[in-house]
Amino acid sequence: MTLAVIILLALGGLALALAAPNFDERPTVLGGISGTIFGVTLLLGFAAMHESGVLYGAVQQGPLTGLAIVLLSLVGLLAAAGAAIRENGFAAGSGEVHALMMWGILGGVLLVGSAHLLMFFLGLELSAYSTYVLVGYDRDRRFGTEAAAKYLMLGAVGSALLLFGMALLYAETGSIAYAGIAAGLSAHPSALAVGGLALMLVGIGFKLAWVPFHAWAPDAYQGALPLMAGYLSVAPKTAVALGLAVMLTQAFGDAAGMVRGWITALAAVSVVLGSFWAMGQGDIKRLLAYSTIVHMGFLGMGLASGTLTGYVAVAYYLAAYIVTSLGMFFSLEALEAHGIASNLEAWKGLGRRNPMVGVLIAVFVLSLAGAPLLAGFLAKLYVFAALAQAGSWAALIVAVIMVIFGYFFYFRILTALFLEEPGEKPAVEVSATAISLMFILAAAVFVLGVWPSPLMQWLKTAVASLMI
Amino acid sequence: MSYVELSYWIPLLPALGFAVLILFGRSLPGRLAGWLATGVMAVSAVLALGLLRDVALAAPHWDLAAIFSGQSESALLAPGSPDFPFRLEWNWLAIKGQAGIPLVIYVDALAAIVTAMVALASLFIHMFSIGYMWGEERYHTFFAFLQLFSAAMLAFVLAGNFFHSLLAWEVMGLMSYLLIGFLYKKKTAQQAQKKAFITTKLADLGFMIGLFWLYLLIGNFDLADLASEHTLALIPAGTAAVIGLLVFVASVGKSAQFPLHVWLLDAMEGPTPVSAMIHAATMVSAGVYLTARFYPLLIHGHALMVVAWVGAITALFAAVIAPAFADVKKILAWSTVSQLGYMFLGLGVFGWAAAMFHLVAHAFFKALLFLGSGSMIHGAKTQDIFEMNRLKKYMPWTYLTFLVGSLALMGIPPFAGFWSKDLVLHAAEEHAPILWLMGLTAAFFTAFYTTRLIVIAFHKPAMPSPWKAAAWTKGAPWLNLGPADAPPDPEPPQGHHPHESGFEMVTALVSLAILSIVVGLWGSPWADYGLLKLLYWGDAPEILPVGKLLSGYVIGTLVALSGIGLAWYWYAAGDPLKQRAPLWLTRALQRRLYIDEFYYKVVAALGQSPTYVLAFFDRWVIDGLVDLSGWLALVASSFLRYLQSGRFAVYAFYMLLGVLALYLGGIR
Repeated sequence: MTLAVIILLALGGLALALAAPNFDERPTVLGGISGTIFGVTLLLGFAAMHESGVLYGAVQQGPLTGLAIVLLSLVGLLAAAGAAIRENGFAAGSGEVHALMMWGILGGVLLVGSAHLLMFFLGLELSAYSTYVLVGYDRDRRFGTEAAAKYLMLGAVGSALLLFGMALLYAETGSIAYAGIAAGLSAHPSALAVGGLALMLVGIGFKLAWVPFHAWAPDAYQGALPLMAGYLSVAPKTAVALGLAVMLTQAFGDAAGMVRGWITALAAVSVVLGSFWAMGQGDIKRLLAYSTIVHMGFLGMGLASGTLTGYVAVAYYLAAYIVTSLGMFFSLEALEAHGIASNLEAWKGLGRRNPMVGVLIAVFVLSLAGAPLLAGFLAKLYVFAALAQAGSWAALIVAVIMVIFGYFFYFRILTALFLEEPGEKPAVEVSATAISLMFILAAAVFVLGVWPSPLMQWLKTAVASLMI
Repeated sequence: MSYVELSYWIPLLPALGFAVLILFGRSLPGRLAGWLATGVMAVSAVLALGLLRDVALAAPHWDLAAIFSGQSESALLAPGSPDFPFRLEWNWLAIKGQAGIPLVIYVDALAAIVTAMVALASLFIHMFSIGYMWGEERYHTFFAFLQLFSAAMLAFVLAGNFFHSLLAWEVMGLMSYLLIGFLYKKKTAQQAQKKAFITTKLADLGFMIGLFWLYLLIGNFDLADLASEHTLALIPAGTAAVIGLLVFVASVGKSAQFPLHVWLLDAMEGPTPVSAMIHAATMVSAGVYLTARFYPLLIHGHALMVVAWVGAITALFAAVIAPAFADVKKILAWSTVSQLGYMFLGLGVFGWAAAMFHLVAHAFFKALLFLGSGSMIHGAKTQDIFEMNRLKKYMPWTYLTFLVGSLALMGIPPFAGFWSKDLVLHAAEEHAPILWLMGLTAAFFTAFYTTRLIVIAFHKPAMPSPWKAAAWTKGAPWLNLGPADAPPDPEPPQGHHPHESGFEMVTALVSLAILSIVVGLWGSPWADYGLLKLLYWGDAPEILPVGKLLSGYVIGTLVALSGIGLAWYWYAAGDPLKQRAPLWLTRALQRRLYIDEFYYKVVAALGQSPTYVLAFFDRWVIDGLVDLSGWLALVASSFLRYLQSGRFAVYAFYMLLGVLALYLGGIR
């Protein structure tokens, strides 16, 4: 099934890219095809969870790969649907968007399933290249082009460092397969191996936007169309977080403890600095970029705990973040498509200008902030539980304090939505597609927040394979 | 598909009704919102009746003769179905294999009977409100609130888990706040809703503390588990008494028992259907129901005597005060307090089944009386019975149904209250004759004030109300009898002719009248104590052959008749306007024996003293910290902005710094 998914995504992306020029006038057709393919791979993902073995010595089949296929296909499905929010398609053509997203998802699946560094790097680059293009997709936006250029160059630096780290590890252990590396690393690795691991973590941290490798994120989010920013905030993050979990348990062997210490430090710095940066923002996409940095920090804390509870918490966090973040960015997309810029000034009184949209956005914002009864709350709660269980009290205290600070900047959005006077601003209209999508995602946020048991059960069975 | 499997729809339907009405009610034309809510309740009521039928079929059957002779072992004719009491269970908060707090619906005979009672009473209250509330602002909101209230009460009754009982209990508290203050523009209504909420909330603390304490001891919240010998053995008797009494405090608050009865009278500021809902069928019954559920614990802790005394004192005290009032709803409010006292008295003297019988019977006839009073107010445009003008002539249906309710309340055979109250009194007589005497005295006053109400409102022509002229009715500003700044009650329109209420209202009244008669007969010896047998759980000293109860029946009837006779002699034969009681007594009764004033002056003052310290702490420490953290955050934020320069080279430099930091951190 894993093989079928890989082939389907690769050929599907190719077909979409080839067909794209013929469908510029009817962009929804391609979205429909793309959505269908993702629907199929989503189902195949469930089947793939029951497989085992390694494909051609490179891609592991198993519950975790299945989980990655399911989550990433869900992202792809939602993003394909989200492309329909802009009814007239994108200025630069619509087909390529779907092709690029599909290849990006393929890269994500490969990097989670990889059994050695080469495949990991291949997956990471495949997933990254599509985002470079997507960020600058709207060529007419000056910001977008600038952001894409910066992102590409920084990404190149990140990839170079990652490759260099891999080379050092190979020099130390003589292997690029996970199992071989793990066998060659001790609890106190040599200076060479420490260098290799540190460089690799920088490359990975770059994708997860951990401070201080985060600097591309605010520009990229601000410059990209909201849909692309939304895709950027979930698809590569989901893949890389799961891939890192695999590496921590399978590739780093006895040195994993040291790497987890680094991750904790990076995560804590991300949570603290990200929150402070977010407070000063007036542009909502920049604010959400810092919000992503903070969220990835919380996620990193879960990863660093190194226990089953921690990995389950990470998986739940990813699921919760997918629905919340996509919902938020879809809202932005819907508003931008109708000429309402994504900044607090333009959002004044939005809750009164269109109560339905206001309430739905409030659900997403509250979930991001971690308000009870919503998915974001439980996500943080599970991570905190994992931290407490692992005895990481320092990280836990930092995290809890920063949750409170987080409310500062999330509530600035809510204040703008509901408390400030709309003044002379006109009423807000959004398309029915957008409202339906937002409603579905808000419902998902709520359901995950009040009835997490089935999902947790399922995630636990999928993630348990990590701990063997 | 049995009704048991559908039982979760009983509370769910009105909850959905609430959601629909609160979201879309505004766009429903005319009275559609009311009819929609009534329709939802009707479906719920049908399901509840189906549930009752299922339970009646599945419950064990008992031989009456063997129960009479006290041989409970041989009384069992046919054992119940193996899965009775019914139990539906869902996982909730079950995380990774831990048990969590299961969502349980537990249906035994008591739950089924009370569910049916709540659903039916609520149905007719909804129906009555269609006409009564028509023309009010926020018509649909009213029905939305009623729906959620019913849903919470039904969920409370069906919950098999005290944790969920507590949730539903709190929702009821909130809804009572919203409904009592429904006419939110009235200052008195605002004060009343606060008073009700704060009083009951204070009492709720007892529930929470007791419940969580219990959880520490037995490790679950399960309702059925509490009754098992095995669980009770885990709890020392002294602790059981304390926990039971803590929970009982919550019941005292919710059911407006002495000394926490103060909120109920002011709660009459709500629209009349609300009074029927809160003070007859649902919220006040919830307190009794809760105590009934903790009955095994109270027995285990030997704490029942407290319950009995609180009940008896309340029954007597409220019945004595009631004749001093002229507002029809306030008289009925005192009557509710008094009747609830009977129920606690019954529980306290081991008359569990009798108390539950009185609970069900009272719910119907008191809902009937409250709705009847609503119809009277609707027709006569005043709440003062002295200002009502021979309503018997103008409102024949209201009169007839009100009479049925009153006869039940007074305990005249063969109406409901007669059968149930007498069983309670008989149980009291066996255990504590002094409590029995108190109960009988209360019964005398009950008959007295009810007759007074009927005679003056229905039979006599309108007259200037002496209670409006009296100086003390205005009260002190801190006493919520009608503060100085409240607008005066409107005078009844001159030359106004009362009229009978509309179709929906009369239908609701007649239905409730019939129901109250039927329920009374179902539990009477004429029907072989059908209702009590259903509730029987192996030990019920109050189920006795008619022969043993006969003296009680005769005494009860005579007491009631003498109360009626006295009121008739004073008010029907004589002139109602002549003062019959000395001024100081009337004034003391009117001021509710100064209990409210005591709370306002002494308790409130005592309670307020620590707030000055806390206010200081809050202003200078908490606020200061919040301001400080906000200020720090802004300073940090504005400083950190400079790091985000937008230059590629700087960003790449950060990455290299990161590598270096990690490397140095790892190399050691």
